[in-house]
Amino acid sequence: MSQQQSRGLPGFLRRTFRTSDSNISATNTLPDEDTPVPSVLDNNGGENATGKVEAPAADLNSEKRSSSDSRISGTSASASNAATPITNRAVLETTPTSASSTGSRKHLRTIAFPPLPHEMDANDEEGEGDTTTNNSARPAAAAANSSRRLLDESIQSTTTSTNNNPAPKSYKEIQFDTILASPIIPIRDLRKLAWNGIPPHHRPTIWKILLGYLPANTSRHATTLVRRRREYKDAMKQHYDIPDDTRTNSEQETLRQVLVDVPRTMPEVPLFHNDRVRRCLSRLLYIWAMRHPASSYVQGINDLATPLIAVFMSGYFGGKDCLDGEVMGDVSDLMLEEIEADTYWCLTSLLSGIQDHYTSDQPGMQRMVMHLEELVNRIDADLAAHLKSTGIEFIQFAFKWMNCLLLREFRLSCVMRLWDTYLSEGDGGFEDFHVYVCASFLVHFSNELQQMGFDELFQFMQNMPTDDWGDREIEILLSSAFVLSTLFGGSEAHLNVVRH
Amino acid sequence: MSTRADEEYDYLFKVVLIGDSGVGKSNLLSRFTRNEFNLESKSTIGVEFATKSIQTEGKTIKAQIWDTAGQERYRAITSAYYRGAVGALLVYDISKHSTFENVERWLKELRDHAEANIVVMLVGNKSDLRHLRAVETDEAMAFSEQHNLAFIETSALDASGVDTAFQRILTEIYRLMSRRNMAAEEGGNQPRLTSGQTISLSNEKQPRKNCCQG
Repeated sequence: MSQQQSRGLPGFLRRTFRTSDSNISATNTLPDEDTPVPSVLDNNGGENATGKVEAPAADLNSEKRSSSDSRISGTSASASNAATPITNRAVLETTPTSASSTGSRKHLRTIAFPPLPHEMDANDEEGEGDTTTNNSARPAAAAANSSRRLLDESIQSTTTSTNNNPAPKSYKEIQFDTILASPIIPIRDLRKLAWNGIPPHHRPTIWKILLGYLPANTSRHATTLVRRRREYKDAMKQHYDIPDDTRTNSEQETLRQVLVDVPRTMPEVPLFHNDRVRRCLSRLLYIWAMRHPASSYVQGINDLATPLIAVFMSGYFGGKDCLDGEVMGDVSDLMLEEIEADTYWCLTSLLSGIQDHYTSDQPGMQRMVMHLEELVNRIDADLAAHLKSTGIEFIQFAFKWMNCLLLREFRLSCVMRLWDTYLSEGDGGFEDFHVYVCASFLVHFSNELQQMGFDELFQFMQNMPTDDWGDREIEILLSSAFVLSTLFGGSEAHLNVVRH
Repeated sequence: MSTRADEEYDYLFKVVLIGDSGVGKSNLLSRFTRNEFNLESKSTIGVEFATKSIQTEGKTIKAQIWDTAGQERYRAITSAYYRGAVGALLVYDISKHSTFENVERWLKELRDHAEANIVVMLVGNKSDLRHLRAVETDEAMAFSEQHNLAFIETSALDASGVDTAFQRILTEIYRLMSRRNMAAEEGGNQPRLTSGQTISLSNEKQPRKNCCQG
């Protein structure tokens, strides 16, 4: 196992969960065609179980179902029980086609499309192990990529696609294209697909759909956008474009706070140094605050708007990364108005799902921190005991993780990937699932943290070492969070969480 | 690494940084503990923390400084951090009068949540912004006398006054503590003397000239 990989794997995945019915150990990453496969899967090297997966997976599932609360599906984690005939590789290979997994989260694992005619062949080729031209540090990933390339080529040759792009599209992209071309977008299928990451050029549209800003009926997209953008303009006239002396004291205070915070929002991202972008951000935050007096503007909400702005702007440039701000010369005022309005509505939608995170005393935030603490107690008792012995409290470091949804911990590009999954999770993405992600994140550093005393811990937590993180690390985090969510999801009794 | 974990010290003092958002609390902290200033620092969410040890009157004092979020919404969370604090730097921005006007509100916060005998120093930050000054030094000084607060102007940007501010408040806390040491009626929230091992260390130390206090 290369250093990179061993570092990438959350530590607790190498340990054993204490669950009521079975020991769940090392798991795979998400079954994503573009996701490199962690090397744990490589143990099964030449074994190709594509055709014989259903039965063992079903066995595993029925075995699991007998327990009271576990909802592990064969596609999310494999039991370490030696008697279970399923292999990790088998789990991985079967995922795109298996729609039979159990549990309410099965949609996250499976993709609704029927098996492609060439998939079997492609996977057979993979058994031969043509990995020589690939990154040797990730043999399994290389194998997966290699098979995927074969698959892509075969798809290219059989698909009469609307693709004007000379570069071959991946299987995943074609799936996205197909879904988005539907007159009525199948939201459930879209969620399943998007959970594993959205190609950048599709991200603007899909985020808008998953946030409920755009309807499933694509014929209504254009009119919806026109109407919502006009509504936003009206709100702007009502709340923003008014003389300052007509604002109440508390409104002025809110405006002051927004104007203090906007220039120090994402300072490491050049796009947010741009004055026009800052004006948009100030305006939409202020208007949001005016329209949501129960919480009004709370520091950290400014952070939450930044992925939306960046993603929606990229939509005008074919999904190009706009973070360096260089596109701003090509961004017309009209475009920016649209981006601002879209961001406003999508931020509104996002925040409506986590309303009590920002209301007085922030009860939602406190609940999440408590949930996190209980979870860490369960999955890494050593770490929990160590943290306790140093006197550090979860609220002291995790409050920020909840309040800014890890935007302060990860680069913006990583956050976009993270949010693909959060948005696909539906209602609980930014709350319940986020807590699982935070738990995986913390436990990832378990060994290091357990060497630290209070001061060092605190300093470390304030500046988590994620500078070199990319999508791969985020995806590993997401898969371990997924495992946790299947273990503990919907079973708060496990966690002794008091719901208010 | 801004601190040495195994550092020896005679006293550990917890100090909080409070004041309106955007007045420069985080930069005061980073200037003091790491000699860093960041024009583009982000807003503080919840609480941040750093430590630094200083010498005063022959003793090593470790300051554990808690930097809190300034926004009103966070008061419920941040006020918990006042517990056990023996000092507070109440910061305003000399170029924004409203941040000075809110000082009274912050004093009330301290009265409600902090120890009764907490040492409070009023800090007028951003003294480098001379051309934008909105709070006169005399005005702030008069206010601090009236409320029995120590007072100093600082600039985290050009570093002037920053070390002095921390040195002064820590020294003042130390003097107060040593005077009260015999009484020792308070419980665990008071700074405590560490075990005897530090005595040999302090023998080697030169008593440092302290900044004079009012």
